[in-house]
Amino acid sequence: MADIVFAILAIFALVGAFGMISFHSPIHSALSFIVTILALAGIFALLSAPFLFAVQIIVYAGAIMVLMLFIIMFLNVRESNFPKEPNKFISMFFGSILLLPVNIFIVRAFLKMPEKSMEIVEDGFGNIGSLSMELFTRWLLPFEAISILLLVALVGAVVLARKEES
Amino acid sequence: MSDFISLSSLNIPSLLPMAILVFGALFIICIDLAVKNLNRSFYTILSVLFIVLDLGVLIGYNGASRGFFDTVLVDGIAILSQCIILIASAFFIPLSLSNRHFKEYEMAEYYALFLFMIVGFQFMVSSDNLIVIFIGLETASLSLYTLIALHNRAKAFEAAIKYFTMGALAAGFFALSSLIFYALTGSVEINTIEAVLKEREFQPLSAVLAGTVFMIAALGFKLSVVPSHTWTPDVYEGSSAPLAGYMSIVPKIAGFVVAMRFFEMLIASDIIWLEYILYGLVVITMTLANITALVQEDVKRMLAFSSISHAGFVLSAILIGTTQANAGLFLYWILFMFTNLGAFSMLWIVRHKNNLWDERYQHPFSKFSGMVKLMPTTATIMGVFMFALAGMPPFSVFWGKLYLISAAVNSGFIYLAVIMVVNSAIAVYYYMKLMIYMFLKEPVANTSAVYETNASTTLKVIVGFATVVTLSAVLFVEPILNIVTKFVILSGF
Repeated sequence: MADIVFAILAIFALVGAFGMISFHSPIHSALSFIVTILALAGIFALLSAPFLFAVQIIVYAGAIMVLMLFIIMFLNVRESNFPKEPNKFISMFFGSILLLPVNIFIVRAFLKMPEKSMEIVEDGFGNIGSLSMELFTRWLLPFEAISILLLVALVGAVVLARKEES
Repeated sequence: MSDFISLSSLNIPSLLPMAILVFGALFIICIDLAVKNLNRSFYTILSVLFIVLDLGVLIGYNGASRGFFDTVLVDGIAILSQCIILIASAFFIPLSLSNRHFKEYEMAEYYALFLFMIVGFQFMVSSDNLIVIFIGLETASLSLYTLIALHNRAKAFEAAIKYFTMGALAAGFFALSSLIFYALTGSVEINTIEAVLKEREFQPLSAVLAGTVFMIAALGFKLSVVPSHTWTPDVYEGSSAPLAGYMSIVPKIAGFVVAMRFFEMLIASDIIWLEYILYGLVVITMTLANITALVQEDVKRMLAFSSISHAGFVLSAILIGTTQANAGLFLYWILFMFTNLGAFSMLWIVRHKNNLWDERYQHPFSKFSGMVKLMPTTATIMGVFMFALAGMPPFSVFWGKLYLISAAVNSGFIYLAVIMVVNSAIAVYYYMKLMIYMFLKEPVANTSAVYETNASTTLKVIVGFATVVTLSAVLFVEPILNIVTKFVILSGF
């Protein structure tokens, strides 16, 4: 059963990703990307990681994609502003052939990984309680360091945006 | 893990060096909220004070080397590299007190971001946890991109965007490499990864290779090792001279420390292709950068390529991997730091807001022609830095080169040593090109005024200090080497 659900979600994720790079209009690409994100959220749920599932939907599908759509609409690009892409699919085809060796190599590397049990872990693995326990004990320092990182990004964005006006 | 965690097991003092600078940065932002339009010298002095305080705390640190559930690792090379980072920052921040006023130096955020950047580098070097290293790397990089973009020139923005896009790619590679090693060993700690891989005799090889290749790409970007070096000249050219000089020293020492921690375990594996990959990187980086530097028409771009070639030279220490080589890496970088500080400060002094000499370049070679007739002291000092960078005895960088080459010979890398010597000889050519322009050509400018628009007492003092260190390096190479070797041995490299 889990395999079937996984297969369906994986197909959705791939179709969404393919749509994202092949659509001509950025809005369609963004909407197609949401399909991928939702499918990934489903895969997280399948792996009994309810917290990641919720975060994936709230943060990625909710916040980030809305922001991207907002920016695309804000810029108000017209059909005539899009670059002409005459040989798009041919170049995509040859590009993927070019990347094929790299991908085969990575897949081979993953296939040769040491044997681990691929069973889905029992309840309590990915819920908020156990996750926050890890996050706020063993991973406290990286967690706090990320807040510095976000502060830097914030200060940097404000400084650069303010520079424009003067 | 037990529910009860004792406070002393966290080893909070190990975090003090980062905490002081985070506090300093927040303090500067808060002051700016309360009092507007403070003078740039106030912010500069404040930043330098925090850095000096930090340096004192760092040197006085005598706690355990691990803290915070093993996410912090304050060993010998961490302390040593943090000292280099802090000293370099303490010299590069006051370069903002130039004669001309620049908008970015009036902003409190410039200094706050600068301190945050130092914190990022400190996290990077004082941990062997790939996640903490990654966060440190990103904190430092994001601050650096913003600092470059703040400089008020069209090219500065271009440089920042170029650096940002390439940096984002490198960050992706780093994350992918960490992922592969985590999938392989179930840990993101470099020493645990090492233990697990050793036990398994580095099988499966293809997975280790994939992880290593991505790590080389990520660190190679920071160190500007040849396949991923293309951003360097453009970014250096676009950013202001102090930041370009800073970029050629501090991010690289942080990158070297991570590379040292990471590749030491792989070199120890006796996998022959790993050695070949590193060997190839070192040789190509040194040689190609040197040959490209020969044809540059701009001094800043020439210095950019020269810094790539110096990085390639020093990367050989990681390939050799003995204690002598690793100590040589730090010795080389300390000496190179002062020399490059001087060279880029000189470019900062002779900065002119218009491109008077060339449409395209800001510091073409012709700008410096006949400088000795107009300003003998300036030309001589610049000449000293060029001699030092070229590795002429008895100036500073020569001792670093000598020590690294002898390390190569001692561990049987004879061909590598020959290539290093040949490259040093090639490098002399382009440094001497500037000397010929300065000393043997006729001046193009009628007055020395165009060269001095940005000179101030602070800048002159910094250049003077760098000159004294470069000239008298022979006196303190021995003590520095003793200290460095002690620290390197303490941390087991």
